[in-house]
Amino acid sequence: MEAYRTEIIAACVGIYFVLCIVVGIWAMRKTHSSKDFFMAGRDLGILVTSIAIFSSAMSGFGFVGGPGLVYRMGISSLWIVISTTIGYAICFFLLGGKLREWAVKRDSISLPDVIMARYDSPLAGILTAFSIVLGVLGYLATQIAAMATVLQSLAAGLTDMGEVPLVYCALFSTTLLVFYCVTGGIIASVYTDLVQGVIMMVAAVMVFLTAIWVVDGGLRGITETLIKDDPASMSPWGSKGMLGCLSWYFVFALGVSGQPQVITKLMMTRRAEDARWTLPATIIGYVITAMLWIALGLAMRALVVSGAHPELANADHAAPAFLQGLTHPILAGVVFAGLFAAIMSTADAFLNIGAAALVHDIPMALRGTPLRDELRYARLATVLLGAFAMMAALNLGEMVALLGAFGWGTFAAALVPTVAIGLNWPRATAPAACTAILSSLAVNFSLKAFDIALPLSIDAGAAALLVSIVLFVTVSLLTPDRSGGKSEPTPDKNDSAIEPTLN
Amino acid sequence: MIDAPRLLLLFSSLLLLLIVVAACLYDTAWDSSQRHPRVATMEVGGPRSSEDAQHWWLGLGFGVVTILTLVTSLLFAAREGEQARSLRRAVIAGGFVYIAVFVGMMMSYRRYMTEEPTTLGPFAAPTTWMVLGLWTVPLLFVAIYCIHFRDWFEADPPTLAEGDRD
Repeated sequence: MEAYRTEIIAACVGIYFVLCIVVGIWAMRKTHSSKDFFMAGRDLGILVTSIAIFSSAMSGFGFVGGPGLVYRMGISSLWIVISTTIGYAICFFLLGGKLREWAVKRDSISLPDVIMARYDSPLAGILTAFSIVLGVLGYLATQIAAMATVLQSLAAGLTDMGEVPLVYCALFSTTLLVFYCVTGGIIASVYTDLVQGVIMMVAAVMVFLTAIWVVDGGLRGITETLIKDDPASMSPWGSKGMLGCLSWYFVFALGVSGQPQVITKLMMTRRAEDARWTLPATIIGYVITAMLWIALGLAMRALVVSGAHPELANADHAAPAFLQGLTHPILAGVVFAGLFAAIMSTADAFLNIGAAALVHDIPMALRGTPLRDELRYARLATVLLGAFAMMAALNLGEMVALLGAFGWGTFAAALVPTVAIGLNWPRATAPAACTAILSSLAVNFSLKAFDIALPLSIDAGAAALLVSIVLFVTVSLLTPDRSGGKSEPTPDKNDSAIEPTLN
Repeated sequence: MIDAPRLLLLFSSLLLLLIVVAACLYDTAWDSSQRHPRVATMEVGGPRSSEDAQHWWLGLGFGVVTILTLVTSLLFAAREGEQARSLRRAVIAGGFVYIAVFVGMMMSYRRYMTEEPTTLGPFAAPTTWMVLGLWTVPLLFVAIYCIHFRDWFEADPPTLAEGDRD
């Protein structure tokens, strides 16, 4: 079986690709309107919603970047992992019921829709849509670049013709992704997320067991080896340091409530009370998947430190090296499929949110009414966004990495005050929302673009979030409340006018 | 009466202030992480970790204010009347446990760095506090959410049911 390792991995990945296509075709038959395309007809159950939420948050970064960080820094990046329990608790406390309530009562089909209605401010809506489009392009391009790179390394072992050009791999990955997103919109996205989430969980458990099996003494053996090498790397702060790790904890915990790919799912549930059990189900899914992040990274660090494995050329090779050298071919196949699943589950969510921003939110803010044939434009925008992100991935190089890194912190700093706090605090005002979004873009982009490092490895996104919260609360307290303090939605007077044009 | 927005403003400003204080106190504030002596693709604690052990109280303060900020964010969910009072009491009680676990981790970290490094369960002692303590203690808030969902969180059920028709 070992002789056919590459073929077995390719077969597992191929089966997964076929599943995505099948789900896309199935979802196309259920997509009749733009509300179906962007909001899944607000008909998602607990299991589908919870898996869609955690799998959109756990991108390819969780499967490749996460173990790489543990390999490089020791325990530091576990602060990102452990922030999830409090992060999702805050997210559901503040938005679990609220976002759905707004979505239903105002017939909102996107986050900027809700912002526009909450603050009675088209400018706040446009700024939200703009920051979403910027973040989406960056995230999407990095996900496409990651998919193309993994596919290229996989294809290299299958053909005697040498390396397959990256552009073909990017074209194939983007076509597959765009296909099921265009045909089935968010319905295809969330149901592929279901498949993807299950694959990710199975892969994570199997890798966890393998990782503690390959090192003598299991997790304790790994810990003892690493403490002997450098006790500080196994302390809670690893090599990043105390305040740097705590800044990660802060931005990842509070930042979940500002990630559009996560919180828009809360607008799609069938019943309001589904939020009750969606929260624990989401956390269970994330915790299971995160086992791969922890165990694989620590195992590879211990193996290399003890001399049982040659040094890696790059920290991000920790996961591929472990899978290629230390696992059964079928497990490697499942995990490679899980890796594609992790990347695609995030990418499809962004594709849908980006399309909503382009064909719904911006026209709504500028014209006050949606486009006439919104569903057709939504499909067209999905294709264009996919193509644009692919070209960016292939041509923009460092700019893509910049936009990708820009994503989480920007969404957190722009949307946590505006959405999570604003929907729960009647005194929050439109100028405060606009200030928070603009400060988030300015702080995050200048820190990244001019390569400004903060002291003590403080995360740039954490600093931007703190600045944005301070500005949001201060400006709200200093400006008059012209919207009448709408933290509770009232039915939209124009609902009846909007409803027919949605289809 | 708890004023969540002003508390959030206070704690966020305090965190920014603590970053400035720390940047002035640390000699290694602007240094990048130290490379592993044998493995070029790895990093080790280095001088920064010695300074962390020396200024552990700063981490204690920063961590406690971070937790206070996160717990204050939960308080925004409290609406008005009896619902708000009960939810606030439950969240604040959970917040005390959360802070207690963090303080436990910091005490364990101090011993780990100043005495012989020890393990507790599968990890180094303070890391076990972090992974098994800090990761799980917010499940208290998850339990509050699930148990009291109908009383404290469900928003205006009759109107939502009406909205569900679409």
